[in-house]
Amino acid sequence: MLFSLVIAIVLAVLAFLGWLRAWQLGRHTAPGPVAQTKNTHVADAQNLASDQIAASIQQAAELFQKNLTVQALKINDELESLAGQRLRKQVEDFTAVLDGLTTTASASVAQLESLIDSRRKALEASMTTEVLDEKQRTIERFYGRLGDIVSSYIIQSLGNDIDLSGQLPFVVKVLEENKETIKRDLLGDY
Amino acid sequence: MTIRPDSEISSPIQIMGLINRLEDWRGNVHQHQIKRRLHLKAPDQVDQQLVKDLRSLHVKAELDDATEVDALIATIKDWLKQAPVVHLTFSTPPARSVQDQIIDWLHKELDPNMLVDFEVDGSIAAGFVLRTKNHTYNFTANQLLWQGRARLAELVQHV
Repeated sequence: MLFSLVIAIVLAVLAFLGWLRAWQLGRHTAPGPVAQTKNTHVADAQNLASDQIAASIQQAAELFQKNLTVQALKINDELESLAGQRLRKQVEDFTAVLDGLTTTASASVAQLESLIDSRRKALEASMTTEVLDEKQRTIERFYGRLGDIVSSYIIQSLGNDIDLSGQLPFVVKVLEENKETIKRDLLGDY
Repeated sequence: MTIRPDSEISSPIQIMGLINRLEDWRGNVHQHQIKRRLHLKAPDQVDQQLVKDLRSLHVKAELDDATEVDALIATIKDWLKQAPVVHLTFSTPPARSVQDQIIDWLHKELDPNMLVDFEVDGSIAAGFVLRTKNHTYNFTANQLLWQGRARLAELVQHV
């Protein structure tokens, strides 16, 4: 393909050089009668050469245009093919890398989940123990204070008069306090 | 005839026991009169517990006279019907000295004819229950603590 292009260019250059030589020869010749006729032939030859050169140039240009179009299409196809291949290769590479990353990430996530789970269990166990200990301490404090409160409450409610070993002072005191009520009740009975 | 019980005999059950003994004696008196009339045998000895109980009631009576014994029985029965009665319940049986002092106080402060019945209820932690014919006065520790339960709840809330 390139070879054809080069040939067309070479032909075009040779035609141009031939036309240029003929044009120079015609310009340096002195005109005369004989020369007049000769000049006429030269002019015709020049015109013919010019026409031939123009035709050659036209053909070369057309051929060049055609080759250029073909080559452009081929280059475009090759470029597209090359780009597609590279793109596929890149996609494949990217997919491979992505797969690797996914695998690595999955393994890392699984490992992280396992680590978190074990840590959570350890924390839960630790917290459960601490909560139970704190609960036990709270209960002990509660009962400790409850004992004081109940004792205080019993003393406040019953006073110091109730002594299981000696009931008489309490009995007499209560009877004295309620004497009139009981008296009215008894008097009402009979 | 005036009856005035002391601490030796102050419960309705004791009085009813006294009446039973008098009625038994009343039968003996009748037999004794028959025997005496027939000159068969010396009179029976009077029950000493009966004598003691009558003395505790400050009653003087001729026990050899059946008619007088009958009158005495009737009098005591009438008196028993009218005498005010209180029932005192404790967690454990009060000592005799405690009973005597309580009875003395009741006779002195409330009514000299007061009859007192001591009862026991193990569910009473401390204190006592006084029950009359129509009312019950709860002076137990349970009741006192129950009355102040709102205060206890308030205290517990601050624990």
